[in-house]
Amino acid sequence: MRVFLGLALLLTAVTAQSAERLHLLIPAGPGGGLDSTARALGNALQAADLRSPVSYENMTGGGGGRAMAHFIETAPRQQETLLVNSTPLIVRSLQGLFPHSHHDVIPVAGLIAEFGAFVVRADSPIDSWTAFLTQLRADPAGVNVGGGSVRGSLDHIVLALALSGAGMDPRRVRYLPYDAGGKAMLALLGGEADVLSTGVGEALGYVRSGDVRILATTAPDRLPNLPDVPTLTELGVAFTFANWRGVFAAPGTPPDAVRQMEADVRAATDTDSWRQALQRYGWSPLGLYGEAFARYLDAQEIQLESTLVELGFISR
Amino acid sequence: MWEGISTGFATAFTLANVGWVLLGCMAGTIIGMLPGLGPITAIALMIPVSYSLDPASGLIMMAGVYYGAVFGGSTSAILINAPGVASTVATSFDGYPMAREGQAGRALAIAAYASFAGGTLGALALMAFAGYLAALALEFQSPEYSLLLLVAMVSVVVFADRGARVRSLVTLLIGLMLGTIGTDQLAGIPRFTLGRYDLADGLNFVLVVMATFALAEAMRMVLLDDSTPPGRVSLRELVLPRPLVRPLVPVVGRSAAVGFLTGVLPGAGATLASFFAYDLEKRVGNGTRESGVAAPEAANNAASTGSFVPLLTLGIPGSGTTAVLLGVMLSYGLQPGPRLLTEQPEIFWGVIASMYLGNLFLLALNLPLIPLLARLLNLSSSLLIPLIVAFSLVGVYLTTLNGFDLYLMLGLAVLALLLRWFDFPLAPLLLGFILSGLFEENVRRTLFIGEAGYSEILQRPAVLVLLMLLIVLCLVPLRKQGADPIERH
Amino acid sequence: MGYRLFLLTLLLTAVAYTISARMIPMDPWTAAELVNAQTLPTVYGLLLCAALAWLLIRGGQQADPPSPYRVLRVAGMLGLSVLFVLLFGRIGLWPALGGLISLSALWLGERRWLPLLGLSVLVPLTGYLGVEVLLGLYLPD
Repeated sequence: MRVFLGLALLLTAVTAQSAERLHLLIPAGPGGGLDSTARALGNALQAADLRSPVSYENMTGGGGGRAMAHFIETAPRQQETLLVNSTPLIVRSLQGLFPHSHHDVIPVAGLIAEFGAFVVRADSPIDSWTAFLTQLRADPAGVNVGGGSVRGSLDHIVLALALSGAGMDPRRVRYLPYDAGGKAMLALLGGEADVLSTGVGEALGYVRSGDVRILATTAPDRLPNLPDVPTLTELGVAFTFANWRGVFAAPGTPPDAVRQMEADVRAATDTDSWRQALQRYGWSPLGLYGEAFARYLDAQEIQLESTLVELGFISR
Repeated sequence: MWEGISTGFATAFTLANVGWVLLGCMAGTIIGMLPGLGPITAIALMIPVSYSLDPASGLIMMAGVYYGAVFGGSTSAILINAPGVASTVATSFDGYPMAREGQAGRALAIAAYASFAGGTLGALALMAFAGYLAALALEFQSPEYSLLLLVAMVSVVVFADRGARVRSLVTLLIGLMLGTIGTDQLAGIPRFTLGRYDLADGLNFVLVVMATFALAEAMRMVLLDDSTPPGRVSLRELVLPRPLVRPLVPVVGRSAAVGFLTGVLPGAGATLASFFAYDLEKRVGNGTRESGVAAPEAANNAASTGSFVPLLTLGIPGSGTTAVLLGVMLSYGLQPGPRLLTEQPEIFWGVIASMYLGNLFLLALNLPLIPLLARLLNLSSSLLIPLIVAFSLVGVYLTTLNGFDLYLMLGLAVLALLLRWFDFPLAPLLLGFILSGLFEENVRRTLFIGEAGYSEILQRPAVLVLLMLLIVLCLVPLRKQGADPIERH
Repeated sequence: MGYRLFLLTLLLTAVAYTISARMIPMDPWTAAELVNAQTLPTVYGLLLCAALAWLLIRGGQQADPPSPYRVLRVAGMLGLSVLFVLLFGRIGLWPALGGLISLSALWLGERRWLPLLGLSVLVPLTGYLGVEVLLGLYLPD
């Protein structure tokens, strides 16, 4: 009986009509970073009574390509929908893995920035970014750098960008891909990988428990929750990078409707519900809206394209 | 530790939390029985409910949803040969033939009791050894995985009847090949996708299992005009006779141990566990059908308990389901990992303590349903077959929400029907498909690391043990004496 | 389909698979690896060819071919399933499911109207209420 009670409560909660509805299309399965971003945003929108009801649709397939294609093909029916996406959108469209890019949808808001981190075990002989570089120069085959995604994807690209910023040939580094961040962390803890290229959030819990250490982050400034960890810029590498997560409107959505969605999302990020979510997951706010977000994406596209060419993943 | 355990019991046995365990188990069982909705969907669907709870109650409920769905998944495996979760595939090998012979009630009852025993033994082991087992999970790296998966695949071929070894190899390879469709796990290259997104993530497990097991079986029934023998199941059949139970006790014990240890390994834990336990009983044990149902069920439930070890102690999800659970924990602001045990012992031990209660509830929930569910098989085949076809098509659609997958599924079902018609066993096909990606990924990483020198890899104790096991397995076919043929799917 | 013809078809598929495995495009990093994106698929393909060739040469048992009438029944079931997939996008998942159940039961010789209609209505209705209403799953249209 309690199932029905709980669900009935839930149904009444979402059907209390007072604001416009919003649908969030998530190009990934439940439980991951994109899904939690979407649900945190939806909760904030509903808590502040900005949008109600908020519905969610998880559409997996083609590394996000199916959701993107669906969103664009059915655009006339998606005027009340926001597509959640993140940096791999740019990487995959540059690699030609799907035909659409961020130019085909309307950037509404960049919500979260996750910075890259280079992580080692707490007892690793590699105890600083400089030691890492020295080790790589001396014996590039002796260092395995793990990452939570395939070769040529984000963790690898960030590693390559950081190393070429430090004046090294990124093609000589051995990158060991794992199919999820957690598996890569296990490989680091178990000793199969010597250094891990990952997101700050993925490593934070292990830093707190004293199992790992972060050599450097790709943030522009030191992070408030990691005051002792240097940034790459401090270490003389002129390179910052953020994996953004943001929302997009369907092509052809009337400008007024887009502006309204932008205003609602902006207001939602100024709620306690959203701030709590940032705190819980250890996310950094990005806070870019409309045109500013679009320019940010264009700049990142140029940065990523040159790296992918240099690494040999795409030919210009 | 004892202090932690007693806090855990105190947390789990409050009235509210007992209620949440019950709710979780009920929701999990019901959702797990629906076509295509396995533990992952069950947990994801309950996420909104969990938002309103405090972390301990929320996780206790979610754990209940998880093992409730695993418990519920074996029902369709036994009744209509449609295992909805990879870890119940091995249950259908002997469970479905039993149901075809009018023993559906008995098979379901054995599955329920074995699941209960496996889950409870798993929870006991989790309580006793969680800390030490984290070390085992760390010990298992790419070389160990490659060898373990190779052991699983070689044993499915060498343990087939003497005449069917090559046929098992053929279907194993077809399964492995089906598993290579999609984006390469290491290099991100699309393979055999014919340029379609629908294939870029590879074939869905539910699709392959529904096509090759449920749908192909329904089509075979049409082809043979196979009518089900009537079997009435009364509540009395749920009480198993003592001579039947006695030999099953050691089976369940062994299988739970195998299952728990395999489940601790992140990766295909529960599935591997059920296959290993099944093979073990068929080879080493007495080989009865009853033990063929009890072994995989005890093993997969012990394994799903075991999969909480890497999740709770290392913060690393070993399966898709535990990955969603990790998401739930993060949304509570909990960081699973070594510090959870010291900082929030009431959550760590509370979840584990609630599992005893949950397993008891599951048994009480599932037993009365058995006569009801088994009555499904009394339908005439002209009604039962359309229902199986509908169940499998909708199940796959609800999993992937992609119409293209249904065509793929029908095509695969035709292939599976032909394979069965010509006496090829289908179990190796599923095993190959399930393990394909994991195997390739680990082999390639092992050799990538090996480029720097193999001597280091060969010094690892687990590698040596597995290598020896592999050599012994390869010698099995050379044995002269003809083993009695074992019936397999 | 005869046993040898089936084996031959599988063999041809295996050959085609192996050839297309050799043509998987690779980036320079992957191509330089000892075991790369092409290696294991090629191994699987070659092993399968060998196993099938062995079965073909050895010959072996021949299952009795099913009667054309039975094959027709299976083909009809497959046809109805394809019809279901073609139609559910247009008329909705649950109505199409009701159609599939009733038509295939008719095809298989069910003539009792009450259970036939009852199941064709009750099963989709339960599905709709359970999945869409109670669980609130979103099905794309």
